[in-house]
Amino acid sequence: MQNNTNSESTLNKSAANKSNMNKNTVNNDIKKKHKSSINKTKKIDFGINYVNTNSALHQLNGVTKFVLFLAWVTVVLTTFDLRLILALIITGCTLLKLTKVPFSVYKPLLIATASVLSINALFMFLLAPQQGVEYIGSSTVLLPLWGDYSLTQETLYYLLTVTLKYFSMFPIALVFVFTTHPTEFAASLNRLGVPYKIAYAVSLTLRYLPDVKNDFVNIMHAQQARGVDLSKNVSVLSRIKNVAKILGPLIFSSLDRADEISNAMTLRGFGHNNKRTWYSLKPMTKQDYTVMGLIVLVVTLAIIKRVMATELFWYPF
Amino acid sequence: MTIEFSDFSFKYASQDKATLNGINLRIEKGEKIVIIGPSGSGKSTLGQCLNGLIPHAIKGEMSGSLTINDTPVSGLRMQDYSESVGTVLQDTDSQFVGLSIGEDIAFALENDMIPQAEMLPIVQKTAAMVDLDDLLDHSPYALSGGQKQRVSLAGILVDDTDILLFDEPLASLDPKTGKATIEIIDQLHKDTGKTVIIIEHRLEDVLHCHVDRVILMERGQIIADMSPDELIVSPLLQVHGIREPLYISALKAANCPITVADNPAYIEKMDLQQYQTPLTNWFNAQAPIVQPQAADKLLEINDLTYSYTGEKNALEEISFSINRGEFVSILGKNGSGKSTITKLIMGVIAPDAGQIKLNGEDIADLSIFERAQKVGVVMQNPNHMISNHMIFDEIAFGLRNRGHDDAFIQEKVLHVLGLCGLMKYRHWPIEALSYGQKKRVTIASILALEPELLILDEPTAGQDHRNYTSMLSFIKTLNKTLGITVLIISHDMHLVLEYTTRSVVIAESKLIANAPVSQVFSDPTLLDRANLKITSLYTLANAVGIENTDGFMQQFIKSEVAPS
Repeated sequence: MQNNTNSESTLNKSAANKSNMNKNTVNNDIKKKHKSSINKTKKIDFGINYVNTNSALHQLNGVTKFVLFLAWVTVVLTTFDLRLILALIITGCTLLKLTKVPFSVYKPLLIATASVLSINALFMFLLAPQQGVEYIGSSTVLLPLWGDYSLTQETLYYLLTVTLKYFSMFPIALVFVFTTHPTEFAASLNRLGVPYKIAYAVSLTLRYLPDVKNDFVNIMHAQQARGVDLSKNVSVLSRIKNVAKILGPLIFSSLDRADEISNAMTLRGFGHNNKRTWYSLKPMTKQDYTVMGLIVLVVTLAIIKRVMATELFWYPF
Repeated sequence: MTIEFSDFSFKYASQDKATLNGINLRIEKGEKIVIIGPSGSGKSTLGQCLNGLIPHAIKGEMSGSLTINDTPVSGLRMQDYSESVGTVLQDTDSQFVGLSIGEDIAFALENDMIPQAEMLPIVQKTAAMVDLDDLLDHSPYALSGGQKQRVSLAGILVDDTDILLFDEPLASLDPKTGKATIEIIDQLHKDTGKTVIIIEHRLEDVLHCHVDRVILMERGQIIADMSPDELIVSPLLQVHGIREPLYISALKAANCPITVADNPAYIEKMDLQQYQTPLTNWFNAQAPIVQPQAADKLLEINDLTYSYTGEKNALEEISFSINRGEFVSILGKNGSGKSTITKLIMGVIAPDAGQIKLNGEDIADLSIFERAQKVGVVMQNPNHMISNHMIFDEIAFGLRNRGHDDAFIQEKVLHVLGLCGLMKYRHWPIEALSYGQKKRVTIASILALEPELLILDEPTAGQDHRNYTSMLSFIKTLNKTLGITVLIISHDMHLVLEYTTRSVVIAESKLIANAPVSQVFSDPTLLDRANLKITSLYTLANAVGIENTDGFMQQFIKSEVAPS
């Protein structure tokens, strides 16, 4: 099971940044290997996938949670109001707590997200150091630096708001992933009008990613044993070339696998009809409709607020 | 539901020659048929013509006629096939598309748009037929090979088709699970009266239960269509490179007359008493075998413990050693931890406790590549190892990475190519090779590095008897002439019995035996713990009252090896 958890985490990362996935995994594994003679390899990896803890959130329908996620993103996009953003973060973290998934599972991801967002904020400052002043319309210099780069209270406030705004989507995304069974989600997507072949691909990806990951690890080991060096001892160019030595066989074996899976599915009637039913589809319950109602209300209020508001930023100083 | 091929031929769109040539075959409703033949004989293609993958998913040219229930297949849509033929594929992982057992069993029902309320009881009932009704929520990663196979079976039973087609159902199963699978198929055949067609090349294992007819194929043609008894008595099996049952080989070696009337296809139906005198005479006539003693330890494994999760140990305090020049096997069921040993030796994972010594030196501080200079590992799937386009480059790859000069590499590669019988292919691209030839290339690429220890992980997977016999005879020769120490990891009992001298048996993460192969195979309790089964040689020796079953098996191996 642990293996599975690891690989699905790779999947979720890959959704965010596919091109980096393989390289990172390679590098991480290499680092591990180099340490392995000295330290023991760290075995328990974090995982981001469906975790069944039977919490109240797990009982909700996949459609409801998907709508919640979309609504959440919509509300976040409408606002630059720090009060609302903080409220969203607190609610999100409470919901995350309610999933009963242990903190250790997503701690590494939390750290990773926080670091990426901090770097993002830094670059935003470097590219447009006066953005906050521009938006808010006043300028209170906190730390005079050369040229435009003087740090103002407004810019600091602006960067804080934007960073937290991005961050507020993090807990809800995790809630969605932790509590929604992939096939149930596929069924939900299908019910929302997404063609079932596309919806099923979601579930299929999750099913076979661990297998592809195993292939990848096998291929990597075989190549390392024959002297393909993926560590920092060689130049970046030859490292890229060496990674290609792994990707080639991986792509071919994955294509073979895809062929077999597709045959197996055809044999069992996939694609014969224009519709299909779903074993994992959950019926909508009263709770679902209540949550949906609440979501509609909040989203409407958020949009009204945005339309009525005279200023984009809420700036108390 | 009858099936009739008449003058049927098929050519894949991608190939020049027809894969099936003038097939005439009639299968009646309710029959149980086995189709055997070496790799490339067209037996799987025949199966694909029956289940509709040809012509619906795989293109090619058909001629002659094929009718299913008197309907020519040209008039059948893919869903018509799915309604009459249920297929269990060789690779149970590809067939398991759902994220839980229940979901996977329901897959065909979902595609048929059966409402969810009706689906649940059908899934429950079908799961009960294969004893999976308590595991409906389990994910595929938590299942054993046998359980996955049963899920595949339930997944097609749910459709209630009249014909069940099994494509190499034993390929990835350990012996005990394979035996259970054959029993389940047989029970199903008796209970439902469905037509059962099994494509397989392990004849002895399939004949564990009754079979109506055996179809032998070679080069796209049907060579024989007869009862299993008639086939066993005929010389056809040997001519076409199919492994005949071990007890039959033993009886033949002892010059025992076998006729169709003896029911030779099923050992339990045979009157083995009649062979007591010739068998005992044959056994006594042979000189006792003296086990060669060697003391030079190449690999030592001491108290090796490893856990993937930190909770359950994959290996627990495993200790054994391999002497220089030995040919040893590691036996154990899937998931018993046997491939973890390879990973630890390769150095891709580090042990939690214990040490590995090579030539008396601890190898803990050596890198993967440094270890690979001494220990060559040939993985199960050659497609995972091959990363170059041309055969020459593939074999030269490891040497180039070592930094040798071109002249040296040239000489070395040519030498290995000659050794492995690949010389004429040296300018070929890898893609032009068959699976068995690719496997040979991977072995060559490892041999080029001149390892002291060669580890082969499941060398027979995906290979027919003829292919693997020639490959292993070659490895045996290397072992004999060059003195390369060989370690085989497998659950193929024929392979282990015929080629290795000593077996290390792992079950439930622990080492449960480390003894000569014939001794391991004479211990039914031990075999059962390791998910293996007793061989028919053991049954035969027991039936005729030879108590030294160990010696009997050694005798047999010697007589098998001697003629070649």
